[in-house]
This record gives sequence, C-alpha cells and structure tokens, in this order.
Amino acid sequence: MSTANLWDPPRKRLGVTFALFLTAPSTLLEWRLEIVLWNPIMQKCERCSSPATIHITEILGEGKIEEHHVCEPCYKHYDQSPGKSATGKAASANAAASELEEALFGQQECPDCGIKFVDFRNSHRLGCSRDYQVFQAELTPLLENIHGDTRHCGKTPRRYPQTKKAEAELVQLRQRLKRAVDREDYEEAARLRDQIRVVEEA
Amino acid sequence: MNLNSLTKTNGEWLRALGPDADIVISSRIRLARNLSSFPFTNRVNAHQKAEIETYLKGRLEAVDFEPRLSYLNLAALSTLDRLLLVERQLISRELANSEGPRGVAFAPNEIISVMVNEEDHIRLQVIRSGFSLDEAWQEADRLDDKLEEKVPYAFSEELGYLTACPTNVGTGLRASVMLHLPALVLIKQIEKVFRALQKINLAVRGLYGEGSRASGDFYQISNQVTLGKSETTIINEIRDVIPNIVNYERQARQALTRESRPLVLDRVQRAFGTLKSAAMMTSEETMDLLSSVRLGVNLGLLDDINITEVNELFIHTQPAHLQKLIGRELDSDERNSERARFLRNRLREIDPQVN
Ligand SMILES: [Zn+2]
Ligand SMILES: [Zn+2]
Repeated sequence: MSTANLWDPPRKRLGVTFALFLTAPSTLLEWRLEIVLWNPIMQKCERCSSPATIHITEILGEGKIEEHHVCEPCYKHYDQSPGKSATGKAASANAAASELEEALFGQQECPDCGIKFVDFRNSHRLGCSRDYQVFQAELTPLLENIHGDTRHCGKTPRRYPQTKKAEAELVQLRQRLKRAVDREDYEEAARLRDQIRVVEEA
Repeated sequence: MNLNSLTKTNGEWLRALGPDADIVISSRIRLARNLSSFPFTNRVNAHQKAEIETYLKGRLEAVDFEPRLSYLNLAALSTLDRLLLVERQLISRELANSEGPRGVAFAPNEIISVMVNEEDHIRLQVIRSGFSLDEAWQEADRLDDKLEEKVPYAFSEELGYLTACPTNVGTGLRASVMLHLPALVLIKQIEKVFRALQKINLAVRGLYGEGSRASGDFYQISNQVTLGKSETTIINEIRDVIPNIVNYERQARQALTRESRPLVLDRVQRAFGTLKSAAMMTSEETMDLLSSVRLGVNLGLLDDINITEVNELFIHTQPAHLQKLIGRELDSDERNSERARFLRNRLREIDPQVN
C-alpha cells in the first residue's frame, strides 16, 4: 500500500460515471461567465479598481484553467482581447462603437428612479422595474449573454392568464428543438420532445 | 422572539434526514420578488425603505399560510444575533451587514424564511434537509402564491419577475443543493466535477457562499440561468445532475476504503483525536477536521459518534453559535480556545471513554 493509491485512484471506473454529466446541454461558450450575486467578499477588478462582478474561468485544456476577475466595462475588452477570436483591430473598433453608444444612449434617464445606464454599469443594480423598458436596447444583449435567452417562460402571477405562459414556453421549446435537430444533437432533441409533451398535456 | 433557543437545535438543513443525506446535506429554493410600486432597494430612500418594511411585515404576518411566519426586525438586533441567523442560513450575509430598516419572517421549523429589503424587496427561501428540491419548490411556490394574493409584484410578461440585478430576472429562482464531497476532494477529482458543472451552466460555491474555498468540503451547486426556462426545467436540470455527483462521491469513497483503508482510517482517527485534545481551534480547522470525521462515520470507520452529533458540532462551533452557547462575546483568540474547550467537553459527553 503506497500513498499513490490514495491520491491516484483507478481513473477508468470513475471516468465512466463522470461522462454521464456531459449528456446535459453544453454551453455555446467554452468559458464561463458567472456573475456572483451573494458573494459578500467583493473582489477587485484586475484591470481597474472597481468591484469585479464577472468571474471567468477559462478552460485551456489538459487540466489547465485560468481565472480572471473583472468589472463589466473591462469584461467587454477582455472578451475582445487578443487570443480571443477577435483581433486587436476589432477590439478598438468595438471600443469606439461603445463610446458612440455611450454618447447616444448614455444620457438617457429613467423617469421613475432617475438612473442612467452608466449608473447600472457602475453599480450592477437597476434602480426600478421600469428600467427594463427604459434601457431595453442596452439590456437585451446583456440578458442574452447571461441567460442565453430574452423571454420569460416560467411562473406567472395568478392574475396573468395561464394560457399565455404555456404558449410562450412551447414556442421556446420548439425553437430549441429545431436548433438541437439542426446540430444533430438527438439526445437533447428527445429530451425536448418529452418536455413539449409535458407542457402540451398540462 | 428569543434567539438563544435557536442554538439548542440543528435547524432544518443540518438535520441529516432525507434521501442521500450522507452526501446531500440540504436542498434550497430561493425566489426574488419586488413590489411594483417602489424603486429597488438600492434606490429607495430611508423613508421608503421603512414604508416597504412596514407594508411587507403586515402582509407576511397576515398571510394565509401554515406554518405561521413570525417577523424579526433585523435593525434592532445585535451584530452577533444577525450573524447567528446567517450561520443558520435564515438570512444572507449581505442582508445581515446592510443598513436601515430590514428584516426576516420565518417559520419556527426554520424551513421557510422571507427576507425583506435585501437586494430585492422580497427574498423567499425554503431549505429542506437532504435531496428534496421538489418538495422545497412546492413549498416556496405555495407561499409565493399566497403572498402574491396580497402583494402586487413587479412582473412583465416578456421578462417575468423583475429584479434589481438582471442575473435574477425571469423566474427569480435560485435552486441549490449542498453536498458534502470529502472523498472527491481527497482523491483530487473535485476540479473535474466543477468543470463539468460549469459546462452546463451550473455554479459551485462554498457553504456560506464565500469565495471558491469550500470549508468542510461542503459545496453548493446552483443554477445560473433564470430567464427563458420554466422553474421546473431549472430544477430538473439540477436534480438530474446531482445523482451523478452523489454516485461519483460514493465510488470515490468505495475506492478509498478498498484501496487505501489504513490511510483513510489514519486521517479520520487523527482528525477525531485532534478535536478531542486540541487547546486552540479555528473555525476553519474545525470544519476540515469534522469533515474527515463525518466521512469516517459514513464509511463505518468511526462509531464513537453519529452523524447528527457531527452535524451539530459543525453548526455549534461557528463563531456566533459558539459565543451564544458560551454566553458572552469573545475576541478571536478567546473564541479559538473556547471552541477547543467546547469540542473537548462535547466529545466527552458523547463518548465517556474519551479522556
Ligand atoms: Zn474594471
Ligand atoms: Zn428606473
């Protein structure tokens, strides 16, 4: 009996079970974007001094991972940084575009709570529920990034008609089914078909 | 309400009951909700914040729901009492440390708690022992329905429940399962689990949500996506992956006992020995040693103590619980020596042969 046994158990047996995880839907991105909400220990952005709200674990392969902690504005640049798919040129074009966007939309204020989009960028909190409408143009890509979706299909307060909810979910599931079939992910497609049946029968 | 009575029990989530309770510690559902007629918590003034609190306190106390909820004004509590509630997972650390009018309504069994004036006006939470996500969801859904009869929520058909942070918008649902994974940590396979979970958009955090270091080998696995999926889909996605991790941990445990039994036994006995005899003990070290002891009990390597007793030690040695049990506030050195004394005494009570 050597210590090697303790730290290096038979891989095969463990590997088999592990592979089961990977049948669940995989993300489009190979790295993860996690916006931590309940983390009381605020990390600082590694590029500037504002609080880091985006924690990226980049999987480099062969067991190597790299961690980055950045704020939202810096994340935009991270996303475009060399080594990523975009070139340096594209990154600066993107920076210019966001400056333009800032000039065009940045001054708009919510008539209810008075925040500007830049306030949200700094605090990562919206001021009131109306902001979702006021800053819709800016928020939509963000929502897509975080959730991979921009439409609710969960619970509805009782006063909203239930039928609309089921409809929305069905539309969604059918879209997803189509995409799964398109990329020949039949396992996922079968799962979605079952889900659609459940919603339809409910 | 006398908070001291809380320290005598384990709280729901450490009761060690329910399916797969040797590995799955607890299942939690959290719903974020806001009042449609007020700005979000970070944008309200002190006056509005007090107004929201009074309004929600009244609704929560009157809600047609069993078990009855009792409301606790957090601003009136000492820092120590608030920390006690954090350790019992009844409130978030963020709510404990924030300022102004805020509170929590909870049921005596500590399964349900509703935070008021957290990042969202309402954070409704249900924690069940063991692997019981569905039961937790049903309970949360039922209370949410009852509350919604009395409270107009901020909701849009397009985006669902509107929250202060867009990462919660949609269902406002965070479903999480807390797992004890000492064997996977020991055989250094835990990173693999993380990477697989990240690939399917699930987040992994430590026991109290802090940083990446999980003390006591406790890991919380939760969804990241809240928009575009129904609550059931979100819950199913987590529920489906948990048995795989549980199996993986079980296989790791089997591999350990089969191939490295003396080494595991040594680790477990040393941990138990240290807990029985140390003179100073930090809460971190206690968690790590108790984790080994818990593994030992579950592997049948240690029968001087049972799981319920181990779970109780986990919570009772947390800083606020310890100070409550000792009956006074302690600085950090005092805490470490009192914690060691507490552990020695408790272990002597549990097993009189301990010297
Ligand atoms: Zn930054
Ligand atoms: Zn607003």
